Amino acid sequence: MAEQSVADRDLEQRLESLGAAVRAQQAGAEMPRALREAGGHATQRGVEVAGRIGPRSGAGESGLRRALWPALAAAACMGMLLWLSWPVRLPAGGANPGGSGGNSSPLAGSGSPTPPVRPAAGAVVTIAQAAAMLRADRGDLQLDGLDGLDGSASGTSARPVGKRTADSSGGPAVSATPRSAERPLRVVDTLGVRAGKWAE
Amino acid sequence: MAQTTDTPLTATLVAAHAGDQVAARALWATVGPRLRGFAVGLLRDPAAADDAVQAAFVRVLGLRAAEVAQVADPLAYLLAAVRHAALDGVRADRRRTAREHAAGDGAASEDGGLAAALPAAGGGDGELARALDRLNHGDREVLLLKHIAGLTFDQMALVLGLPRGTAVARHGAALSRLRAVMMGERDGVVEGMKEVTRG
Repeated sequence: MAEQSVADRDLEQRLESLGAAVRAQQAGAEMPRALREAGGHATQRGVEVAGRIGPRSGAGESGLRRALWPALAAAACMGMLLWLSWPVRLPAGGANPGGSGGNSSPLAGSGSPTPPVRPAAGAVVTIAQAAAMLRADRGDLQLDGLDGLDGSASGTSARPVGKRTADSSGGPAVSATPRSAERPLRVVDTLGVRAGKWAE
Repeated sequence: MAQTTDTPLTATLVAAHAGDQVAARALWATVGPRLRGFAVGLLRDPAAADDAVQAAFVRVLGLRAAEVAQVADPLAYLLAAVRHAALDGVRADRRRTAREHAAGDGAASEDGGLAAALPAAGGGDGELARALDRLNHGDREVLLLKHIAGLTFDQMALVLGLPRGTAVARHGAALSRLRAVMMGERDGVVEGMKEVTRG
């Protein structure tokens, strides 16, 4: 055991001598290029960073930039949505109190400023005005002059119930074409009956 | 795991990282011989050793300045980087050798061995250098770190990622195998001399 310990110490001493000799020999080794050009590396890195966002110490700026992009994109999207929704939010001459389907009908798009005032019997109104009245008032007008209009099934009079969604009723406000929107109609009578009651 | 700190060397490393050439030269003068000696002994190929050392410095210089400032023991850190780069190189060599064998391109070139790679350093102790060369990779690595790179057991533990006690035990086992290899070589030489005498 003691002999082995002595042998180990002897071997370690020889290894230490070998190590010292190796280190002495390697002392003249050329410096690695990476270390020799360390300043160049740093400068190059700084230039690259500066070319993009600023000085090399701008790690925080890079983070700020990363944080700003989504915010800017979100703001742009919000602006676009607001711009798109702006016309929808505007009341189209009081012609769309129901709140739906306003742009699906060519009449609603006319933006007629006609107030929802029930016209007197015998007054002449355009289909667009009549449609606006019907929408606003859910009115019960009898109109004359509906010949040739889509949805006016018969005669010179019709009783549109004024329900914009009641396509089966054949109301002129729904089926009239843009060209006929300005066609004059004559109000035959105002019944003052609500649509639901009329249906009954 | 024990931590060692070398503040002056850390400051030198930080300055070299920032591009201070004086600091770079000072750093190389301190750690260069140990790094390269370890790499040459481990890889038994001076060119591959240069590649490993270069790769280690590329890795360190690629760190951010704040990270470099946190390196507690630059020598151990750099040796660990060299070791990783050397292992990567060894794996690549094995893959290349396997491809060459598969392609019937003959055997890869024989290693020059530690004694051949360090002819002058071996000096009169070529026997020890040859024995080191014949050790397996793990034993050779431990002995190189301790005696060529001049690390303490605490630093060895850092480099190898082992507990200190395990590093000490591995060193002891490596010494025993080195002694056995040297005794085997002596016996082989004696046997060879007997054969020559009989002839």
